[in-house]
Amino acid sequence: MTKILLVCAAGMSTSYLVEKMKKAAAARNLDVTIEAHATPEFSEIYKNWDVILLGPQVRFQKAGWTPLAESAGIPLDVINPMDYGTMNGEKVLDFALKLIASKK
Amino acid sequence: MNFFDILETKLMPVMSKVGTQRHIMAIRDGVVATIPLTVIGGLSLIIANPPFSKTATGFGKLWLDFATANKVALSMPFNMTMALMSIFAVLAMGYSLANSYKMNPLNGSILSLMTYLLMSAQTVNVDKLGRLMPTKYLDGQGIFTAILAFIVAIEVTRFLKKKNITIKMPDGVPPAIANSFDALVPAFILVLIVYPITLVVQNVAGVPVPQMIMNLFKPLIAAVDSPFGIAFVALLAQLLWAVGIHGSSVVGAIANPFKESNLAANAAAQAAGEAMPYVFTPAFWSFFIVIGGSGATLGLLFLLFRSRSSHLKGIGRVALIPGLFNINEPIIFGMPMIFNPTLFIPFVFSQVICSVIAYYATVLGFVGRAFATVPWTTPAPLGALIGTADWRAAVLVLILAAISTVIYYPFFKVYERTLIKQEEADAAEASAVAAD
Repeated sequence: MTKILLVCAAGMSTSYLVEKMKKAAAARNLDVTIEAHATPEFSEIYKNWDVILLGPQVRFQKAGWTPLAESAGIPLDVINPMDYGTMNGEKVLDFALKLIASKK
Repeated sequence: MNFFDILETKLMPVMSKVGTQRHIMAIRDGVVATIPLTVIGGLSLIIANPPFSKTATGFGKLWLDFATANKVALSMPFNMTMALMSIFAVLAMGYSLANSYKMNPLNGSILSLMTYLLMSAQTVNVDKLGRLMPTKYLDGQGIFTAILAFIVAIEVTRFLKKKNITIKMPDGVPPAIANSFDALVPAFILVLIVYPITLVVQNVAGVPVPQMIMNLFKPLIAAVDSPFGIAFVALLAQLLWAVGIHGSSVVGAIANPFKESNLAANAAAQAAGEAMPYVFTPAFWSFFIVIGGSGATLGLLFLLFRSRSSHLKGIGRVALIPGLFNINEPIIFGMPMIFNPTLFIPFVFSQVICSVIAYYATVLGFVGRAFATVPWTTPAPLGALIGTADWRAAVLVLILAAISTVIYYPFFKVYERTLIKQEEADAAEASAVAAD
């Protein structure tokens, strides 16, 4: 089971992307859990994931959160803005899987 | 270095500071946590105060009669939620700040509330009823006092902890019991510090502490609740969005206490049957300014949908549904609006212009003032209608959406033409390759 966390300001626009990513994962028969959460929740929930992706609009959080994620051994990065805008579930899923693979 | 680079390199560090500053974030969390309660409170207020005049007939008359007969009961959910908003906010703010310091969040909540109540709600004796606590300063207008209270409470607690001023429990005492003593020393010290100061201030200033704080903030509140103030907030948020930073959440963290305080004053006035004092409320922001999302892009959806550029049409398809619910990241990042010199002017200024028009439409009495909160993801005309209980507000939303579309139109056409040219060139190249 691969667990992917998406974070944006209110967890709203990422939730649209989550749906697209789930579809992409289902098409590939991948066993994934993908959730969208809001930035205020980050500190309480960041530990139990395989990878954390930030919406580009909250990329200013990256510097502060990277050390937290690193200490938990979780890769964290910002989603490509164009993939985000086009809600490209395939590409963002690829990105997530690549980040997980690079960590192992 | 171009303009966008300057915006990003100058704003990004500031935004990272603001967007990650723990006290500001705690304030934001506190306001966000109270949204369900302000929504319920607002609905209760609408039901108790129907938007019909005494001359109404049919359904309007039925509702009005029912509401008049049951006003106290119908207003009670409002009185127990929105009218006590700062109590809930101070709990959430104290929780969040304590959590960010890795201190016991429950103690943080309790100490913050205690400090706030000590400052704001000293009981009075009333025959037969016993001790009553005045709620006058516990609604959203008390938010600035609540902010002061939770910061004092948590910082004093943190200081004591750092200096190791605590009651030591012998080994073997369960953590839950030890934790309950954790709060004892700070509670004691906070009462010793806060209460005498409160008494002195009350006697010297002749008004309760929250009233004094409100008086201090009055000029600032008035400045924010002006066409310049509102336009400035709308502009700053949008400059950030132009480089792809969540402007409304960063600027909103600071602007929200003002909007909430205004909303509480309006709600209190509405409940008392008086004229509402303020224009700039959460509903005003969500439905008259960021219509369809940041940049007032509701009408733009229509242009995208009909576009001859396949890219823009594709974005229109992805953006349509979220766009109706005021989520427009597909437009912002897909079109894209960010780092886009062609679209910079309408993207930044259409919502600023909307904000000024909406301000004057409100103060001139063309539309009602908002006294209820509606989740910002409600489609804008509906949100405006519920927030103000005035159908003309929904019409204003449509007018503003039309105006912003007109502002976008010429810039959109220029951008569209570039894209179509690019797409035709790409297609020609592809077919040339295929022909080879």
